Amino acid sequence: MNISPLLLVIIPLISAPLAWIFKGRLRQWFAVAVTLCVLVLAGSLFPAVTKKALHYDLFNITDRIVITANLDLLSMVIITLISFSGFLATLYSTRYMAQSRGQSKYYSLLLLFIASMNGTVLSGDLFSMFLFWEVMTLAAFFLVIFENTTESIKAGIKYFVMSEMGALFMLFAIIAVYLQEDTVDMATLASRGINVNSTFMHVLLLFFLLGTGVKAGIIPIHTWLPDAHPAAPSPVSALLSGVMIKVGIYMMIRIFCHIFSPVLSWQFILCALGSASIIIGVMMAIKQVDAKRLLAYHSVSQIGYIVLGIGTGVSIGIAGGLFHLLNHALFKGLLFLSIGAVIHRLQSRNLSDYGGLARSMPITFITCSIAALSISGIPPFNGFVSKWMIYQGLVQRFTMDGSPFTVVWLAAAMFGSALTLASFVKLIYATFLTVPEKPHEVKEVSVLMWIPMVIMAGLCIIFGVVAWDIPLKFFVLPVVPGVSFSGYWHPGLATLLLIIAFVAGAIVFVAGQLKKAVVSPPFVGGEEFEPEMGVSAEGFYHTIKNIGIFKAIYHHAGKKRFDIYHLGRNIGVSICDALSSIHTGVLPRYIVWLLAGLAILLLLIYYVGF
Amino acid sequence: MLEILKPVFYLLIFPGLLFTGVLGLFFMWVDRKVTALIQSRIGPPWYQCYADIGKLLYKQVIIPAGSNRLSFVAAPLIGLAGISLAASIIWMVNINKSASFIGDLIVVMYLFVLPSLALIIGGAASRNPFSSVGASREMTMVFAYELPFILIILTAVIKTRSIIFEDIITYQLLNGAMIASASGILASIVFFICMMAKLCYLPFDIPEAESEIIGGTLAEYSGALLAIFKLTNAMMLLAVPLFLITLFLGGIDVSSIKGIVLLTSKYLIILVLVILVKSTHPRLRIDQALKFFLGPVTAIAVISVILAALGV
Repeated sequence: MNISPLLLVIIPLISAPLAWIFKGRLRQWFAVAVTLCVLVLAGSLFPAVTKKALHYDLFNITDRIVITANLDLLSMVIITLISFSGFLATLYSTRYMAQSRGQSKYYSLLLLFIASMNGTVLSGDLFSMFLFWEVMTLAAFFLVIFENTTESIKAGIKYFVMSEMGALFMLFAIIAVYLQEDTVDMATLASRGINVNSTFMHVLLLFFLLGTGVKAGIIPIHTWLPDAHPAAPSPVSALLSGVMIKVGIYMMIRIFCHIFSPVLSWQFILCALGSASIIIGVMMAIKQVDAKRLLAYHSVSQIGYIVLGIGTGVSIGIAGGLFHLLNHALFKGLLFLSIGAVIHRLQSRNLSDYGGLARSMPITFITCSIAALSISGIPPFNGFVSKWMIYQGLVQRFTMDGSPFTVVWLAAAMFGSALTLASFVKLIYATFLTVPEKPHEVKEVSVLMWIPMVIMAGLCIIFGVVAWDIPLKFFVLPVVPGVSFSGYWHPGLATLLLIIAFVAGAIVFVAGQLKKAVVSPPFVGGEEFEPEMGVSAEGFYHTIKNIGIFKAIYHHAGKKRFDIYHLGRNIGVSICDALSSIHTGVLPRYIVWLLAGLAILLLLIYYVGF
Repeated sequence: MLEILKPVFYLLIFPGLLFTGVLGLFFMWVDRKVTALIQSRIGPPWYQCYADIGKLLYKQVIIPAGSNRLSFVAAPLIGLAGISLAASIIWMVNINKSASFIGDLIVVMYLFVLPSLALIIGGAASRNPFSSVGASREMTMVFAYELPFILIILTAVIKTRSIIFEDIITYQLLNGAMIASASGILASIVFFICMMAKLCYLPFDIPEAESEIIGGTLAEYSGALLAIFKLTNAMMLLAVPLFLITLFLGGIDVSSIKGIVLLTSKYLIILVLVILVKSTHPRLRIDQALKFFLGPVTAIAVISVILAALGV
């Protein structure tokens, strides 16, 4: 038996404790080597999986529960993504984490995290999937609290509690599926195509949605995300946002598109949740001044696009969702790494502490701008192609059923894109272009940190410009059958034309510049130039924040009135308060409670009998 | 070889950069002349706009100290590239319907954002407080008009069930111009209002506002870079109304004299309306404009979407 797919999990799993043993530089390079090894392995498996899905029966727990590994194209794509981002994040960590304490713990957890994500995706049955899912939650929890501040511990616990609640629902659903279908093998379940026809099955789907939705971070169970992402170290944020939430999406695709036969009402729910995530996520992002929190809210919003694409139930929509998943891993990973580079230099996450970094950190500026344009869906970058495919899916859906709601989803998706642009304009402006209060004396980050950023930025461009020839052809369309190439927009030509027009403009500019350009201080009406004359990060959308309805919503959101975790905690705390008020410490009262309890018990026995 | 050069020719010479630019500058002059007549002035001679561009190209470029030079210089070029491509696509899908491709409507919509983005990047990179206020206002304006703008484009999408220009034009050839229907009228009105904001004309010239923030984004621009911004504006003045004509007024037909006369009259009517509104309205404040777009304008757009869904 060819066991090389299993090595995708086994290698990082065994290396995790080994990373603890090594010291200093050796440990860093060991971790980089391991992740590179996993990436190479994933790449080498790709051609084989393209031809035929690999399936292994590993061992039996009981007659009916067989632990299997399954590597079809969908899981292969996700595993490649995990290995790729994992490698770049580890490489980036070698410098980013160089100064921090507890690196042995960090690299072990990082490798464990990558192993568990690969394991979740590689699992062919629901039980081992759930096992790795829980390991993933735990590894991510420890990585979130790695910096050991009050903020990060709070965020970590919030993440852990919400994830576990979701996982419990999912566990229940898995057990129910097992009892009903007598198997947990996903391929077998998929070949049966379980029909959703009873209330029980709908509840089951709801539980699966809760379990996967918490990980994916869809509204309204997204609230761990904007707390946990900023609290974690930047490379971990890049992994959390770039790939871990995608594992949630992967399970969602498995469950809603493969295991259960597609149901219209659930597609509707996915579309509705997706659209809500898009708009609410980005509206919250617009007002943030914490750079990483802003990015975290954008993850919620972009996950909305992916869920919306899956919810269309049309081939091109699902393909668009899957492509957006890949693209999001690239540009959001890149954004976290770029902002991480800024944080590494300035030791602050507050946008108002940044400013004017475009001159001192030109590489970070360019990579961050590319990522910002990609996420905003500006042609010819990659985000545009996938968003456009999702729109096309929605339009096809609309021609099929003519439902007015489809138009609402379409409007939400398109408007969300404009809002994303608005939010990133603010980020780029405040970080790189505005005049800082006091000039920063910083240098560009080390080569080991900017190389991962440049690789990701390059891929953002490649995935956009030659979308149909590389990523869609190899990664997306084989997974989602039924999308034809013909008649679609090929971004390559348009890019070429954009560049030509750009160059033509540049020639006009150079030709016109008969005299050399001169540099002179900005014109401010003859006054002394002060940095605070400009617009600050907080003031950039002052008008929007202060308009009636938004002001009210932001006010309530600021008080966590929409945070399901916060609401649940409040309810829990008030129940516990009520119960603890009974515990007064006065002995006679306890005796009264005892006697009352005994009396009730006796009455019960008397009336009900044994 | 010729096959590759063809799109380049379309883009740079006809109907893209050169053609739209020259024609746009001409209509820019029409705009200035009519405005002058309304204000009881004589107005400039017909070659004034060309002379302006020529003069600016000749003049020295001044770059503000401490600004980000790369973004400052690249910004106008991004806008010009975007509008050239958008204009070429709009012309081409009308001239030769087989040039249409799936989703071109969306592509054009996004390309029209690039000139605004160029203004924002340029303003942010200028290191001038007036410019950064201009950039902030420009982005707020995009935020304001984008929702109604998307909704009315969806009106066309709902009626034709397609996001391809070819289908929209064919639909109008078969069923008459879309403006002839109730939803079409509302959509055209909203498009017109959004167009005023996209063109940055009064009452929505808030991001430029010469009298309060000395031209906003453009405050620091001079010489050839300013010329490129001016050229972009002129091309917008032609391309955005053409977008409206393609979507709601029955498309563009340049195959016969009759078609060209019809197109010219459609365009001139829109242009005169734009000029009339522009020269008779004072500037709104940014929060007023935001409320105006997200309130009544969006409401009308929603009604037009509902009417379109009902098939009216």
